[in-house]
Amino acid sequence: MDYLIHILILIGIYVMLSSSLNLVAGYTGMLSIAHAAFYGVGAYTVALMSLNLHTPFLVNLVCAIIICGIFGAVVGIPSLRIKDDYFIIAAFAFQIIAFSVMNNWVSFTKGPMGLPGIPQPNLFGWKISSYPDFLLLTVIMCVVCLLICWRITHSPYGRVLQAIREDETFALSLGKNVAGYKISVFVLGAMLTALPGALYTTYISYIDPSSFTVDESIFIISIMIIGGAGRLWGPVLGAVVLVMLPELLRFVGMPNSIAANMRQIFYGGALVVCMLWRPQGLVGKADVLRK
Amino acid sequence: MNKWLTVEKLSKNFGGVKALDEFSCHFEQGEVVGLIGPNGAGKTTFFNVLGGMLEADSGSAQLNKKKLTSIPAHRIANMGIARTFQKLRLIRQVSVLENVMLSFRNQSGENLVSLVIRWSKVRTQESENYDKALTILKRVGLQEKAGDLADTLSYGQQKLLTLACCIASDADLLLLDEPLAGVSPSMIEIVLEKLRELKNEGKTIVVIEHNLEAIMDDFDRVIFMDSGRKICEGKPDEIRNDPRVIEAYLK
Repeated sequence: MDYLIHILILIGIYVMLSSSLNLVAGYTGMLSIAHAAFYGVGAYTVALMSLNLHTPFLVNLVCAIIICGIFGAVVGIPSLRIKDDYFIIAAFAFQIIAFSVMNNWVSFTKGPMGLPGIPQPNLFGWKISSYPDFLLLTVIMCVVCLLICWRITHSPYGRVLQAIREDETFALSLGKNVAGYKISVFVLGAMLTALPGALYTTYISYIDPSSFTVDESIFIISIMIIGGAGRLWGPVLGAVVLVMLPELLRFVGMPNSIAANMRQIFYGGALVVCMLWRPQGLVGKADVLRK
Repeated sequence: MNKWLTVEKLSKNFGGVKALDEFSCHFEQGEVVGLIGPNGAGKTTFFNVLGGMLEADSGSAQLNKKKLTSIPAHRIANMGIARTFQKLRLIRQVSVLENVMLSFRNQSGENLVSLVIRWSKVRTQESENYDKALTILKRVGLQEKAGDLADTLSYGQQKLLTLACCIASDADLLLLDEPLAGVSPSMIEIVLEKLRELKNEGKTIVVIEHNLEAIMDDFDRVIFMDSGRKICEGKPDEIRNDPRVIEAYLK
């Protein structure tokens, strides 16, 4: 039972990560490869604050959201001057830098040793410690995250985002401040990663930089693309499929050492199959990779 | 007559090519002006510079005594200028109706902050815009296509949709780049009829067009340009018989 709940919590974390990426990449067309870096910034903020300052969970979460937003602006504003492939490279650079800092600034982040013993969250007297408690917290966060995404995409603001993805020049000619939209949605996407960051940190109670690598960014992108970019439910479906299917490999009696490699092969294979037969993803509409 | 839109000595070079060479002209409110000339004369470049898509090398343009040059494109569009593109630009993966709704200027729901704090205002405006968009689509005869993807429209219908977007923008100045090119004869009549309606509403319309037979009589004034310069301007009949125009089209 606990195992099943654990899988559901993981799915929830990836739903939030890929949904927030979906705003930036699926709707606006800025394929950011730095999403795991923002996720890491959020996770480390919560971990360091609760370990060093002993501040309550909600305060840590709010600070993580703000700090992720600041980092989003710092990366987003200079990256706006460049487009498409160059934007991908700029975001990639931030991903690499963020990982290096987490890995090498030993006095602050403990580097590759990671941060153990992160306290479990306490929300208004509700001490979250058991698996079902965490599942409930996950569900609440997911609902909040998806509601925000829904509100944004089903609004005039979201309509402009799609227009920017399809044709920036046209959006400009309609009087839309394209640069402003790109910045704001990028910052917003970064802020949303603080939710899964905070959840992951307190749930696992231990973090190290290996959770926030380029591989993780690519995994988040894969979820969004396979599920369906530019659709609200795409990332949800993608997260369910991509988190669950590899787990099934355990049940066919595959030893752990092979299963780990099979996972990588599976993700790669799924991405190739998806690009060949359903470039728009399982339920998707936008074709973010083929611009 | 007051000169509503004045353009003075606008120049734009692409490498060694002078796309606009000290191009000057002026437009008065409510007139329909044809901008004609051979391919490469700089007509579309003029639109791009005026709309802020390209930056002028020198010269200036003023709308209602407000400077247009060196202002970001989206702000120019919000000053009341709408345009269509020669290579049709539409948001193809969303519905016809949404293309029109996208074209309304100054929507409060397009601002993240007001999306959160002025939730009910956003909703009211959105439903008003929905009705307005349907009315506009009815006006150009696309109401039955409202829910279809813009991509599924025929070429002529797409041109009508770009016109609908211009109407939705409520701009005073419309810059239309070849509204008749590639459109069937029956559709040409519809487009022209819409242009006349817009003129009657007091819009100023500048049209780039090669199909002169169809549209020439609808122009109040025609500007003929070649190699980035204004060669001559005048009433349609004068332009038609001007030896310089005839020569340029025959050479």
